[in-house]
Amino acid sequence: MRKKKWHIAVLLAPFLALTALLLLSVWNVAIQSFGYIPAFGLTEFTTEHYAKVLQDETFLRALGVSLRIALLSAVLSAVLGVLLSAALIRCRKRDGAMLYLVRMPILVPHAVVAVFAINLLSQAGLVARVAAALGLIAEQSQFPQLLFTPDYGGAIAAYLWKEIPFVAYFVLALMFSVSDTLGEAAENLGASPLRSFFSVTLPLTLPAIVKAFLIIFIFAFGGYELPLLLGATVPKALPVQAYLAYMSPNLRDRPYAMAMNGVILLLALAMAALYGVLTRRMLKRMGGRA
Amino acid sequence: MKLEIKDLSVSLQAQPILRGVSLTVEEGEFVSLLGHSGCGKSTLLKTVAGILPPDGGSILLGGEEITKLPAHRRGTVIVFQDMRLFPHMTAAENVAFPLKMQGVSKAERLRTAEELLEKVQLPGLGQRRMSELSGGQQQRVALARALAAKPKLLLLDEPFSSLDENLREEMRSLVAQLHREFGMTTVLVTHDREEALAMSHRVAVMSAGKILQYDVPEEVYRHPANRTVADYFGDCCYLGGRVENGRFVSELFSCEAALPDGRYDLMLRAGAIRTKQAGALALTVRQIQFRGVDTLVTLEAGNGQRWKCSLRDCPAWSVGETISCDVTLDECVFFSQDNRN
Repeated sequence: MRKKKWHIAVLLAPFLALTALLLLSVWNVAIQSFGYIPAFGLTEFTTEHYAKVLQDETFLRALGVSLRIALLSAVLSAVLGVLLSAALIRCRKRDGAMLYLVRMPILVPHAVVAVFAINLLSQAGLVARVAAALGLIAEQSQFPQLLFTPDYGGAIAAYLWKEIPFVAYFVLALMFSVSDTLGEAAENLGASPLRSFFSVTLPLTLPAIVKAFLIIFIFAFGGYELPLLLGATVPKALPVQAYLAYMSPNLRDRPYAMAMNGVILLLALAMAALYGVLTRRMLKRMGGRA
Repeated sequence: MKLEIKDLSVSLQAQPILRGVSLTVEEGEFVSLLGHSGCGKSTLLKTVAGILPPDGGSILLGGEEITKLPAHRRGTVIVFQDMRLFPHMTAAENVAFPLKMQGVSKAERLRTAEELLEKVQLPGLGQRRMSELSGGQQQRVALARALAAKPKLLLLDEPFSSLDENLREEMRSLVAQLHREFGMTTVLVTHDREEALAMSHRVAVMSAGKILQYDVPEEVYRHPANRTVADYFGDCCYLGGRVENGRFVSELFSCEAALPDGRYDLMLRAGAIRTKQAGALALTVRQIQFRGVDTLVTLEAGNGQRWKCSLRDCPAWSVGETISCDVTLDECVFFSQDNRN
């Protein structure tokens, strides 16, 4: 019995170490955001940095940019990823080359995707050059500005390229098994393939789709590389803005940067809580099966 | 409705599963497809329902060709072995599902669902989720849901095999009762010999993608068309011998046989052995087991073959004793050894 307890302690150690590190960072963010950094001569607790952050035009615009990127990426990825899965199921593509092709973008790092996008889609990129060479546009500068725009279309497009396959990968196995058994039963009872998909296969796959949606939302909300590499100079995305504030040469700005991180942290926690609530509610609706 | 299957062939992953199956089920008839797993009986059912596409042949329902019709327009409903109830719906919503697909109004379909749930002896459980129902109750919901679709043909794919013995018996009588009441043309797939014999008007015995014999239960059991069918029902031993001049002669037993000369196997079931009449067959008592309702006696012939006879009143035999028995020839079948199948 005693030996078993030791085993558990040893096995848990790495996890506990990581958790401790995480909690320590959160603690650091929390106290520093309230203006307590004795090393910099700041010892007074205050909420003024939070007040300043929440009234700061730049911060609010950055928050807007990140929410927009996260929402559009997650919604479009979920919808298009589900359509892709439905198409694969309709064609009975269960394995083989097609699925590997679908999975490939998941493996490509975000920074590499950004480089691809710049090489292909910028005004100096491959597509613009080919179009100019073919005489479709008079010169390269006439190629529409797709990247580095304030609407962050480039970053969203790059997220879609990576996350549509992610949704399909995440959802496909469950969707196949539901469609093969319950979807088949629905058609057997007189439902057309389309109605069978919408009344049985889709609702029963919804828990997985919502999970994929929330993962993408949280990831794209906190993602740094794509908005940095493919986005506009102004406004910046929230993680980029937070990094800039953190790197400010004036150390007495640190509490302000930490307050910004505090707000991001709270938003992330709220989303995680929402994820938990939604998942539990859906599990219950499915009768404890998902 | 009358079902006619003509020369149907089906392959799965390039493996031929059904090879030229023909079968006719009359309107209102209850037919069982009986065979070991892998013999193609479930494949036949799914092909009739339009879930699997055939390679060749045709399927007619009520005289109308349905071979090319998609599954949802066929009016053939399967009750699956794994039930396949929708876990995100209540029992009543499950039963009402086919009616919803037919465009029946909500009030009307929920009323019908409640009625059907009563018919399958689940009154008042309409609001339950699938996870709140027992296996037997789920099977009843699946049955009610199939009935709600008002199928032209009801297909039962081993629906009782996941239930325990008591429930299975109960479900069998429920299905028989519903069949009498609704009079739906029904095809049952099963590997359970007694289930097939007890429930059906006719039984089709299948093996390796073919129908070996299709007849009323008594005929299929008493006069199997070949040894594969006979072996499926079991309890039989074979005595090898010759027929010469209208008489069958084997080392254990001889009798009259109006057959052309040649080598034959005589199929002899326990039920054909008359232990109370002295006759031409000498058997040794090997085991006596009293079981309450009856006594199971194991008898052994000189060549080592054994039969288990169930006797209501067992004489005072002792193990090792040799007795002389008669044989009822109407329950015996001769299979020619020269063209074995």
